[in-house]
Amino acid sequence: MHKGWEISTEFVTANRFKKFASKYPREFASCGANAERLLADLQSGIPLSALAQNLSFFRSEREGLYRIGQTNVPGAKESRLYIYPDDASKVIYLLDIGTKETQRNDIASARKTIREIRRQFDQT
Amino acid sequence: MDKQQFSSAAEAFASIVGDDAVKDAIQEEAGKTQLISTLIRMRMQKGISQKRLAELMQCTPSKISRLESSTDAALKLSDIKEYVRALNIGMSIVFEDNDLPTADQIRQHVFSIHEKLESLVRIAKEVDGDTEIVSKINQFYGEVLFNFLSKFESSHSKLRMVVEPGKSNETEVTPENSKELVVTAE
Repeated sequence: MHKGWEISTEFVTANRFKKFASKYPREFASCGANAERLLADLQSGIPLSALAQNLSFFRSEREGLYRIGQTNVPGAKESRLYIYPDDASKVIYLLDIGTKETQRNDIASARKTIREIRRQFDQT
Repeated sequence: MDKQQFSSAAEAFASIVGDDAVKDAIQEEAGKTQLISTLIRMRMQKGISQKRLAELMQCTPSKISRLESSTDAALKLSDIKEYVRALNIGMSIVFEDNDLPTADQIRQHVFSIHEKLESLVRIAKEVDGDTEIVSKINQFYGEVLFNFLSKFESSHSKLRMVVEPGKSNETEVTPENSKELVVTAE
């Protein structure tokens, strides 16, 4: 039977998401809604590479890392939701959420988590 | 946070922050771009870039970009028509009169399905000699009948529970007995 894409929160630091949601609720909802759109597109069979080329809110940060931004939020704080979509297991791992100001550290930390996820898979 | 795998982003986000209101907020936000998301998805499935679509629509790529970045409420009907025409996708607007009895609404859907089936017959006639296409259309007719009867039987068995409570409803629809079930249903 065809396995659909799912979202994993296994590698999320809940406090970072809670703080962001409390400080930027509109951006948080927008990033969540865009993650929903991405999930639906993946379910319909569109490859990640095509999505990164065609969706304005979605782009590759290399090494398997992707970011989802907010859209349609007037006067928004530039926000980035970091994810690792694993094509083999059809799982989108939520990793981190932050702003443009914190992106350098956020990306480094998210890439580290991806390496950890891959290491866990290699061991099993 | 007990569960860690989700089939929707709204549920995943709500679970992380432990607040169901987040789920509603995300669903509301996602609802604002349902039509646009569908349009973009169709464009991607056809492998057409924004630039190519702009050529087909005889407009600038920035207009496509703006259109795809906006919300459903901001879309103009003329833009939607142009967009789908450029993708070679048909568009029909369905008006469903909620004041109409459900039976009349079902009748309308039956007529609409009949129209589509007739168009397949026309295709079968047009490809005269192409046995592969004709055979696939014929096979599809069988699938339609089976799917319809499965759904019909599911609803009908629920109805029977209301009409004749206490009687068991264990008839399963199979391609073999589907014709008998139609007779029974009539």
